[in-house]
Amino acid sequence: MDVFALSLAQADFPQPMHAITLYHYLLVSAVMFCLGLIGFVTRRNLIIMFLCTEMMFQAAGIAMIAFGRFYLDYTGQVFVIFVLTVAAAEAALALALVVLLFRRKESLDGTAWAVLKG
Amino acid sequence: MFDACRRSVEAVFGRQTSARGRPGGRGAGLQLDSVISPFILYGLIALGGVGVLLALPRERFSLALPGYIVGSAAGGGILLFLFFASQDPDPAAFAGPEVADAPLGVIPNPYFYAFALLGLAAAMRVITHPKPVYSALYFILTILATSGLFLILSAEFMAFALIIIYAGAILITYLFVIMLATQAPQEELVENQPEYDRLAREPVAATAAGFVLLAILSTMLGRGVPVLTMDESAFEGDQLLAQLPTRIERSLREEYALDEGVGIRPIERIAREITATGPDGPFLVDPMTRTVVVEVVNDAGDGARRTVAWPADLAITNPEGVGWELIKAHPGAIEIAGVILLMAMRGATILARKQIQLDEDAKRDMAMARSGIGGGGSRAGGSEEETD
Repeated sequence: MDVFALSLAQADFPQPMHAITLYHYLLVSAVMFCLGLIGFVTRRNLIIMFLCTEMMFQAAGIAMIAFGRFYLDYTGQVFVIFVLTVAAAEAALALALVVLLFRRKESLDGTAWAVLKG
Repeated sequence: MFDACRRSVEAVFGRQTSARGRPGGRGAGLQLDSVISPFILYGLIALGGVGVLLALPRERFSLALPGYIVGSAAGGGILLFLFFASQDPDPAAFAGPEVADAPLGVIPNPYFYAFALLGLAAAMRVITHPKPVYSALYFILTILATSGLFLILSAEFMAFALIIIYAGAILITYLFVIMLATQAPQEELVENQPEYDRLAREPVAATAAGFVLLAILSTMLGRGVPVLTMDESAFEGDQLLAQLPTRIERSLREEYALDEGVGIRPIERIAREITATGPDGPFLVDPMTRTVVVEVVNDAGDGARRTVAWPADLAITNPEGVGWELIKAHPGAIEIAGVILLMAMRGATILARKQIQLDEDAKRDMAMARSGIGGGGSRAGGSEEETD
C-alpha cells in the first residue's frame, strides 16, 4: 500500500497520474493565477506588482507541466524553460526600471507614475 | 457530503448522471441537484474572495487575521472538494483505466494536497502582506511548493531548475532591490510603512473580478478536462532511447561486461562500431522489442551477430528527455532565448547606470513629501534633469 510513496514516477512515467487528475492541477494553477492577478491589480508597490506577474508565470508553468504529464511528452517542460528565461529577463529589466524610478521620485508607488498614461 | 460533492462535480463537469446507472433511483431530485450543486464550488470560491478581500492591506484597522482564516478555510474547502471529486465511484472517467483497476479504487496523493495548500496559502500571503520583504520571502515558499508539485508530476529537472533559478537567483535580485529601494523604516510597525504599501487599490472590484474569472475558469476546465483522452502509446521513451545509442551501449556495458555467456566482450568493439547504425550495420537498435543486435566478439573472434535484450532498468531519464526535446524540436528557440537574456542584461546595465540629478525645486518637494508636509504628489516631472 504505497499511499505515502511519493511517486517520483521516473520508473512509472508512462503511467497516468494516479488519483490526482489533470483537473486538480489545472484548478490549483487557476487559483494561483487569479491570486497573482488580484495582487497585480490591487497592490500599489511596483516591486510587489512584478512579484505578482512572476506568480502568474508560476501558475502557467504548473498548467504546462501538468498537461505535459497528461500527454506524456516533454514539450510542456521545455516551454517552462522558456518561461523561466522570459521571467529572468523580465526581472532584470523591471527591477532596473524600478530602481531608476525610485531614484527619481523616492517612491515605489505605481500610481505616482500615473502621468505616463498620457 | 460525499454525494453532494460528487453531484456538484458532475454538474460542473456537465456529465449525465442518469447515464452512469447508479443504483438508487433519484428521479426528480436530479435536475435540481445538477442545477444547485456547482454552487458548492462557487460558494467556496466566493468565500476565498472574501478572505482575500479581508486580508488585503487596508486603512486604520487590519482584518488580516480573519481574512487569512477565511481564505485558508476556502482553500482547504476547494482542496476537499477536489478530494471528494477524485473519490468518484467511476474513477476511470476521471483518471483512466489504470486507476479503476487499483485495489482500493482511487488513492489520493497526499503530497499533492500538502503542496497545493502550502503554495496557495503562501501565494495569498504574497499578495496581502504589507511588507515587501515578507512578500518576497513568501513567494520563495510558493516556489518551493510549486517545485514539489513538479516533482509529483515527475518533472524533476524543472523542479530543481525552478528552485535554483527562481528561488536562488531571481528572488535574491528582488530582495536586493527591495532593500535598496525602500526608505529605512523607523520602527517595525506597519503604520510606518509608506502609504502605497498600507493601502490596496480598488480591493473590492479587483477581488470580485479575479474570483469571477476563477469561477469561470474552474467551470470551463471542469467541462473540458474529462473530454481529453490520454494515449499512453504516444509516449516515445523507447524511441527516444533508440536515438541515443551511446546510452544503450553504456548500459549494456554495465549489464554484460562480465557475462561470459553473452559473449560480447570486449565491449569496446561495440563502441567502435556504434557509428555504423542501421539495418546493415553491426549495431541495430529495435525500440519495439527492446533489443539490440551486437557483434559477438569472443575469444574465437568469429564476429557472429546476436540479439541481446536491453537491460530491464534502461529508461530515459527526465533531464535526458527534456534536453533531447529541447535540442531536437526547439533549436531556434534556444538561440532566441539566449539573445533575449543578452538583451535583458545589456538593458539592465544601461538602465541602472543612468544618473538622475534633481534640481533644487525637486529636492525641496521631495524633502517636503518625506517629512509629511505634503505636496510631493502634485509635483510635475518637468523640473528634473538627467544625464547619462
